[in-house]
Amino acid sequence: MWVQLFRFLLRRLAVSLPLVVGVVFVTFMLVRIGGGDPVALLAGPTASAQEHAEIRKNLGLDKTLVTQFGIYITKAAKGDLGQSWLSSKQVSEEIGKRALVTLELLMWGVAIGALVGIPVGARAAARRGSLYDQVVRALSLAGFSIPTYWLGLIAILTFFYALGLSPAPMGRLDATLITPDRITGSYFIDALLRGQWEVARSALSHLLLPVMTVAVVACAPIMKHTRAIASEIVDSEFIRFARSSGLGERRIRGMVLRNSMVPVLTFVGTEIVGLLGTSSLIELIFSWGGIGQWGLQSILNGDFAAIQGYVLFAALLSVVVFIIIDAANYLLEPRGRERM
Amino acid sequence: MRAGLMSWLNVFRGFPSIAVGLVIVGLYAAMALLAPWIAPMDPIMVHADAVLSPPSARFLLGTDGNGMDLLSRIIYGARYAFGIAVPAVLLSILIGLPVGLWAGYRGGWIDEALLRSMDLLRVFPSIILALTIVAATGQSITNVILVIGLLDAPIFARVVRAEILALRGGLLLESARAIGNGTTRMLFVHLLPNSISGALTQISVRMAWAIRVSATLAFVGIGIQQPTPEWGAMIRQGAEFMVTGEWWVALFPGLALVTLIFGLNLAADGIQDWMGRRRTQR
Amino acid sequence: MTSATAADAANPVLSIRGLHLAFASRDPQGAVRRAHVLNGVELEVGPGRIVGLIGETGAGKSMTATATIGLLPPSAEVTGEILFEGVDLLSLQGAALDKVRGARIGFVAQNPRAALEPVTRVGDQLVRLIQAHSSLTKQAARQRAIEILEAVGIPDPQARYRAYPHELSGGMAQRVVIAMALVNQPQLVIADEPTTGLDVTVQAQVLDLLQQLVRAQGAAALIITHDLGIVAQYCDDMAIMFAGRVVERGPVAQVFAHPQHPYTRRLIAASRARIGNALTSMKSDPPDLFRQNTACVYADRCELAAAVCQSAPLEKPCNPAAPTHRVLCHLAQMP
Repeated sequence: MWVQLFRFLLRRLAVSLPLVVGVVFVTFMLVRIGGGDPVALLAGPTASAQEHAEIRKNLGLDKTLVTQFGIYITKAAKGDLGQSWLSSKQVSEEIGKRALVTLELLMWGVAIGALVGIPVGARAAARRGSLYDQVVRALSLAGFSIPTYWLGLIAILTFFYALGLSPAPMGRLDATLITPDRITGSYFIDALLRGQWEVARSALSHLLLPVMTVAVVACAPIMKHTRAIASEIVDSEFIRFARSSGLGERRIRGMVLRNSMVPVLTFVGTEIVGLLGTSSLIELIFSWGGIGQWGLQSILNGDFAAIQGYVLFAALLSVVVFIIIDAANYLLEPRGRERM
Repeated sequence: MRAGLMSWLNVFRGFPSIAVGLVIVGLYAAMALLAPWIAPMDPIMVHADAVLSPPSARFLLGTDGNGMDLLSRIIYGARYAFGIAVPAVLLSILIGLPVGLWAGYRGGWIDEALLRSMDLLRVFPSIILALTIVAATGQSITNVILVIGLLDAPIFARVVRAEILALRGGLLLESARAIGNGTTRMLFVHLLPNSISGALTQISVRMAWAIRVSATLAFVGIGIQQPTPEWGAMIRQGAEFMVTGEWWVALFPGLALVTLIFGLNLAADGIQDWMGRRRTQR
Repeated sequence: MTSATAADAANPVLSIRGLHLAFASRDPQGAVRRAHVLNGVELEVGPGRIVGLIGETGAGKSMTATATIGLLPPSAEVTGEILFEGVDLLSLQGAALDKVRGARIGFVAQNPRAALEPVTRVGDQLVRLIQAHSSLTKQAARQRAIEILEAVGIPDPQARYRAYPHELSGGMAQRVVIAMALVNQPQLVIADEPTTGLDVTVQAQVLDLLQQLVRAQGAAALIITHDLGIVAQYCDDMAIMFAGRVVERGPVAQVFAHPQHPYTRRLIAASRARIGNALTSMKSDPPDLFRQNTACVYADRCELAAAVCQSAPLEKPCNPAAPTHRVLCHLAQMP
């Protein structure tokens, strides 16, 4: 079975990579066709026409668009994603520095959102029509309707300004503290691992608000979809038959759980992909210093290579998440195996 | 006529979420239409003496960092919300419906292309895509409308395609063709009306999405900017004042956003329930 | 076929009396409508007897089974009694009800593949059912599961034990469902249209199997079907339902020979006139369940209908002189 799984995953990867290339291609074309002229930005107002031409040549902008893309892709395959004009550093370096930061925020947020959303949604499905269910439906609808960044701002207002419970939304650590030596890239975990309690505490308090904001935004759709999925299963023919065989509520609940697991996990996976965009906004508000904030600023600044790097990262992350979901589906869902 | 009205009232009684949602949306739409007459002040008039002042009798919702009245700006902001969302959704339908009809009816390369583009959109968080495209192609309202419209078109196409594929499984098409209907006639007279019902929920959902995305774009700093009274741009300005305690600048525009989006989602939820009920009773 | 005796009739395994069932719902216009699905069902299943419950779609056959097995939704408005082993099933809930169904009453579902849980192996599903109603160890339960799989005619039961439901053919799946219904040796087996969706050849096999196993265990059975042929071939007694009432019931031979109710007569005549399903060939508009009717529900369609049929209430069978053959008709004559 494992060999088949491996082959299956390879096939999925092979199918997905063209999609990633496609997305990057579209972005590539757009940023070059539209938008500002980086040469002018780099050269400054006093540069001569010759200097412009030289800069253009250095950046490779004198070749055709398709050639440029070809060069980009071949370089990217080797890991060279070009250079950020603003920071003059390698794009791959910038991404590398920040990737874990974003992932930390994303993972904590989705984990908490799922830990709350899934049981609540499941319970609402078991008690459809009740007050609990109506409240859950209303809450998830409300959660759907709140713009993330606004929620973040309200959270800052409440917990930082009004209640003074949270630190100022500036980064991941008190400016006065020294960042712990890097093991995982997470300040909180690294500080814990090294026994630096003060630093850990500060990192945690900085994590709290942004993570909770992501969690709330993640929770609403997870709650709604868990409810929908579990409802469908509760209504299904086999649950009906199980009831008619007198299996008892406890066993039935176990059956519902087992049968909802895969669709719910699949949905959580797609949620993670969707949250990439949302968490970028939160990073912006909290000055989190992750890829999201960097990417958004690159877009605003018209930093070609950086934008492409950001898009590439997001697309690759999506692909990885989807492949993980597919693997889980393959392992846990006996029905699909023949099709795969 | 009277019977028609009565049956609508019954629908609302059975599905209150549709009613409440539509009322909310209606209120905002009225606000947008009647803005020049309802707003107490000119939304971009600067009151230099009252910059950043909290809610008071004079400025019911306070003023922002430029000294402009928040209430008037929020009222006018409704115009931008609808002004972007409505054309964007119309555009999506205009593109999506025919594509979906063709893909479902004929299949072939259009169907393939449609499925591939949906795959592409799935692989990618749409907000980032929208941000990138608008930033790259120029930050005007028209571009925002175009981008949102284009990004949502595949969704409508897919809804219509699904409806058609379902109809193909049934007998409706066979009997129509047996009577001798030509292709165009089939498409417009038979298929279109039956597939629109599925799209109804999506219209509401996509409008909510369009409003949300356009506000997000403005918030990030792309698209509409100050001093235009657009809700997202207003929140952007208000963000810096949150830390110093001038809470009203970002709070009220956000509340307006939340309520309108909520109304649209509520109506969409109710419509979905209603459609589901209709379907099982057919 | 065992013959009915007065003593048997006095101690039925299942006794349904005056069962009324209605559902309130909102139509698309939002108004409240009440559908009267069952209108005073009277039915008995004698010990060791196989009863065929026959009627057209919407007559209420499946609803009767649903009510008996306790699967009615909470919105159902139900009155009457369903007596099984001295207890009114309608009064049971929760654990008490779960003790009965699956163990004392077995249920054979209509769509076998849909009835089995998709993500668990069929053998494990059987074991789960066995252990829910007994204190057998896993080992013992496994053994019993394999035995019953063999008894229902599944080849190579050890291997099939590990199969998932979607890997089985329709006939196989139905055998598994029958195994699940019978494994805990119930007193009564209810089979709801057990041959739907199966090939014609497989249908006969499944019914033979069911009949054989039921007789072997000495259990009683209630087979719900719309096929008179099945009733004629496999059942001891029959009950004909129309618009939520049992309009005629009695031993199969007797009802076929001397049908009393006009509806029964048309059914039998139609089935004699063509091969296959009699009910699909009878043209008539389905009765309107939203109109509650205490008089004869068949009057609109009946060629013998008189004035009394439209007006006089008709809920109890009219000729108790023949205890085993009952008819719900004002004009019935005994031979």
